[in-house]
Amino acid sequence: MKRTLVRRSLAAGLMMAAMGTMSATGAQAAVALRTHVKKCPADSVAAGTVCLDKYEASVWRVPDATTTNATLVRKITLGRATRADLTAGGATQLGTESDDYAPCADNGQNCADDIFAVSLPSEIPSSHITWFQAQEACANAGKRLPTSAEWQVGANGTPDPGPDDGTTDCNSGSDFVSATGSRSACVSARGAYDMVGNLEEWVADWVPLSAGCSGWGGFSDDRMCLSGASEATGGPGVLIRGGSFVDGANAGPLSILGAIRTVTIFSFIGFRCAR
Amino acid sequence: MMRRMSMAVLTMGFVMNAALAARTPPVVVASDAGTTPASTTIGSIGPATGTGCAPDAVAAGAVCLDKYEASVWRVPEPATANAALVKKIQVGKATRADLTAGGATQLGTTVDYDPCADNGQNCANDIYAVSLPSEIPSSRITWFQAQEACANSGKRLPSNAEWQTGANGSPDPGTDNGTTDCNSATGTASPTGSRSSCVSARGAFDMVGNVAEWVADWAPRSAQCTGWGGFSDDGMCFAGASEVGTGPGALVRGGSFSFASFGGPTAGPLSINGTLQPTAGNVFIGFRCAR
Repeated sequence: MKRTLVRRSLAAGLMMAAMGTMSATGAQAAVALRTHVKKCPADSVAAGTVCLDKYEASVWRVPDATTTNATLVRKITLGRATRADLTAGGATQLGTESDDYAPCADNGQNCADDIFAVSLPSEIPSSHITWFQAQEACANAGKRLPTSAEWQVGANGTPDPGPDDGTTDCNSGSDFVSATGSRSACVSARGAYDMVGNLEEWVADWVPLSAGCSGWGGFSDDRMCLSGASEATGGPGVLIRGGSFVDGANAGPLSILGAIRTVTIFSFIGFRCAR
Repeated sequence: MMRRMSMAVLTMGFVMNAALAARTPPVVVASDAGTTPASTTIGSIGPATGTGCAPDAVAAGAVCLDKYEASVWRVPEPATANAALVKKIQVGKATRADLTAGGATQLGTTVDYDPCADNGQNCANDIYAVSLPSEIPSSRITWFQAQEACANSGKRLPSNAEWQTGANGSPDPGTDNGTTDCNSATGTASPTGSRSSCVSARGAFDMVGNVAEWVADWAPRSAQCTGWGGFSDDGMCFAGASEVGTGPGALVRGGSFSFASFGGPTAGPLSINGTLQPTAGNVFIGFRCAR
């Protein structure tokens, strides 16, 4: 791992110092705390061993990322950048209306130090983005796409929609994307917002393109389109989780698709990052 | 990693007992407050976090990916006479001179890895993957052996997604001029990093061509090479799911210096192949590690 996870160990060290004499019991307590309470940057929540972004990503083009705005980029990577910071640096949000990420290409070329994923509340999360672009937006921010398993830990506890009241419930029935974190009841046990509905979310895993939607059987009414393995052309499938603002009861913490290609762009697919 | 953690804590003026330090999780105190020694800057793309990777690796998102395809070395007496050499390997600072001084010999260019077996047994503390420039990368290695070589070096195989982040920006071959382009058409492996244009946006060499690379992911063994459609001419043999054969498929990325669906224009940052079982050892398949 890169040396970014950081404050967790630092906090542990400080705490150990505060404990004074390091008895065996104290040491064990410190280790236990360090193990079970993961300290994550402010833009994310602890979900097992990973820090998962609290909000769906808004993607920003930061000009002069390695020079004038190096400090802004550092703030982004540390999870402390605000909208005010971004606009002050001349950053502009992408992907709210169309695939406007060029020159960052659909296949992930020309994206380094260009587009940055930020976990911010009250923003329209970015969509119209390929898996490759999403991955680059995370990487530039010192993050990565979560795996499906990591995403699941972050999603558990989120209400599984039924109806969408249009204000506090997960956004599963509005036909439009809502601002990140604005659906106040749509929060997981770990504190991540909009894991269900709003935008469906790319995760890291590739699979042979799924061939069908067999469902979860009686276990859940969430969408389950990870079955079979197509021999159709056009590239592998990527796992997509949580369902979107159009999916109604099919959205939910178990919603999973493997039938969308890595290079596909939809207004209802976005992502969030992890580190 | 543990050692650096305890050093960082010591520099903060705290004293930890050794036993506790040894239990510290493999997370290094770095410092968003700028209290840690400056880390190496890794090109213009380097870690905007102000933190970095070991010198044998480049930052690719949240992972440190080895800069070069692995050369695999057998280190004699790794727990005793060569313990310091192993430590150097693990912190990414071992050179060829260090390795030869310790009596290490490179494997997988002409000879086999035995007694480290194809299934990964008898490999612990035996073979070590090293990210070195100017070496012929090791091949003829199964996925299990590759994984063990990474593990002994304190590393692991990157996931497919991590590999992709490290590969983006590498030129997608067309032609191979035999000197600076990615090695996609010569029929033999070239020394790591010798193809100077074959570098990714994150600074990793030979992600495209040279030896194709095992990554961590397994899948049902792929049944077809369907291609990427109009999106890319890179190899795409990750489709369908075979119900026959000997084992799952392990993903291989980037294409190689030649061979059917691995070389020529089908090599590239999108090249992916799920048709090979993890017990396959081929002259055109190697790997690199991550941590």
